[in-house]
Amino acid sequence: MPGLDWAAILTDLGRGNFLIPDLERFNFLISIFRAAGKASVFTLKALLDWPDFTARCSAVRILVRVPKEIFDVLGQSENLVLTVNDFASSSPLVKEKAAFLANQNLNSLDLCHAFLTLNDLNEDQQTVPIMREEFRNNVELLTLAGSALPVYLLKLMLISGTLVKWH
Amino acid sequence: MIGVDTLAENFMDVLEILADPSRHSKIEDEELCSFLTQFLVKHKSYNILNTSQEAAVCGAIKRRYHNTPPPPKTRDLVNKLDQQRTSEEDKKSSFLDLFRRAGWAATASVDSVKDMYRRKGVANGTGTLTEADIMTVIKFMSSTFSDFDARQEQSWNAENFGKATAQLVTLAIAWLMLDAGTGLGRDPH
Repeated sequence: MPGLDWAAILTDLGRGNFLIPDLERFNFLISIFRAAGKASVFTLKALLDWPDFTARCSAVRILVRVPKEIFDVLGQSENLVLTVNDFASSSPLVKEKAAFLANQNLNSLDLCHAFLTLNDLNEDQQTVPIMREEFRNNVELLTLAGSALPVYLLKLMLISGTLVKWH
Repeated sequence: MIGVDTLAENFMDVLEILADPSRHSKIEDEELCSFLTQFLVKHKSYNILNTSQEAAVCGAIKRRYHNTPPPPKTRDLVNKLDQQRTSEEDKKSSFLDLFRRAGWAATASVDSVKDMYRRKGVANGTGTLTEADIMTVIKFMSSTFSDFDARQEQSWNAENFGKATAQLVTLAIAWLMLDAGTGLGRDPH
């Protein structure tokens, strides 16, 4: 035991039917890593790369809503869907909306893509209602982020009922 | 030896007598300790009693002195046997088993977490701690986290677990370095 590989521990947590059912449990997990001085390995990327679908699904469910004080999703994201600067010359109303969207966790392009590319959405009964709600709340972000993934976007729109509404 | 054998054959009766303070109520500490030594220690190599029977005898003695302070020699012998047995069980147990048996008390303080590791020899460099051990314990704690909440008990403490684990790893590295350099880190047993 020359030194524990905490990154490997986090990766292995995402195997074998493990899931994070709620924010309290997410906080519990991250607290272990923080107390061990290994918060740096508890990354957005590591969670989104969890090998097991159920585990990854549960992580995404938490990540779309986790408060910044517990886990800074946007701070860990290399790419954002939009920035306030993108709307510098827009009307105040649009700027206001952009500022709101820029602070949503789904403004993380990585998280957005993970959200859009979760497979077998219809089989995960816990995820679908959250997907619907988050899609409705963040339809602009998801549309922008999902433009490269039309099939998944279409699937989400069908699930959320947004397509029917737009139609 | 034959006497001890006979007692073992009538094991349940022996337990009953030992647990009942009204039976042989005048027995002295010295006598009881001597009897237990013969019964549990001296002839241990003959495997007259198995581990759970030994535990049952220790339990019977504790029941006997449930309402009164136990006599010192008998108390010390029973405690020693309990510790030895726990130590033997610990060696066979996984980290997960230790945490499962201890419940949330295992993470009640940094020291209690360290005690879990010490029981597997991690603290003195004789045992190893792997990523799989930690991962399994984290999974277990996470999956049983709300069990305690539901009973309104204290639950697993993430901070104590994380701190103690990190400190133990540092300590284990120090033991390895010491062992490599001088051989002093080696367990003499």
